[in-house]
Amino acid sequence: MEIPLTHVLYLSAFLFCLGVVGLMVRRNLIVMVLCLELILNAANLALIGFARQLGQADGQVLVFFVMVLAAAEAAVGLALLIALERSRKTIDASSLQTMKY
Amino acid sequence: MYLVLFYICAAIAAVAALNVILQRRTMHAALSLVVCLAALAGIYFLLGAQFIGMIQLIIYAGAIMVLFLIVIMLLDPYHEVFLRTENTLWTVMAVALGGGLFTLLAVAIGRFRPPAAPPGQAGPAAELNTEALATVLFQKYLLPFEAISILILVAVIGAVVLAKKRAGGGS
Repeated sequence: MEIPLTHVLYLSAFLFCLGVVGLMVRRNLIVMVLCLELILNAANLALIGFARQLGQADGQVLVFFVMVLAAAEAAVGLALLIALERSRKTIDASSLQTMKY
Repeated sequence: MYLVLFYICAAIAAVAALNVILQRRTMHAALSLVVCLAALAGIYFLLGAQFIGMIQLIIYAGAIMVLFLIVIMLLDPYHEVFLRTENTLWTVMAVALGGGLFTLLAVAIGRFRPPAAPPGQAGPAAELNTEALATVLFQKYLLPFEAISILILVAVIGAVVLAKKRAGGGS
């Protein structure tokens, strides 16, 4: 019983949309970074599915690179949050509007 | 058998991902994401990507999420103000937009015919073991590999610089 590629892609699309909605709905910056991770994982899932379908390792190598990117993004993003908390005493995106106007 | 396991893992991943954006406590959202990542690792195993599945468990659900949890413990001392946007119209619009995006993607996937393996290459049944992965990674993608090593080095240095206390206690 093979796993159909389309079902993998449906799950990937669902996770991606959840990440996008979470980015728009939530105002807590940590949860927003978590939603970014969700989006990256949705892309990873689609890549793994296609690597399986095509029988080539290129997709899995790309997933490897995306994971390294996610680690770099998490490290820099969380360091930014710590610096932000130190200078502004908040991690709420709604109250960080200095550059908005 | 594989298909049943796939649906179980997919359901766990979907529910956990939903819980990430619905959960009020940041810590619970992060733990929910750990569950989602573990379920995705299970799907990777089922799709024949054992090495990536282990990497997902050890690096992603292990190391990266520990980083998140430490920062949450550092920054989020149980205050729950403004965890969610207070603007109901914005929330409704965001959910509608997300639903529309998913519908669009679902229609595209529904019309999509999976491509066959290119001639001369192995088909879907081919074993993508760690050896095959390493051969591709260290021959075809050697330059991107080195470039991304530099990238993560720069990211780590940047993270240290950003998070360290300013000298003299300024700003």
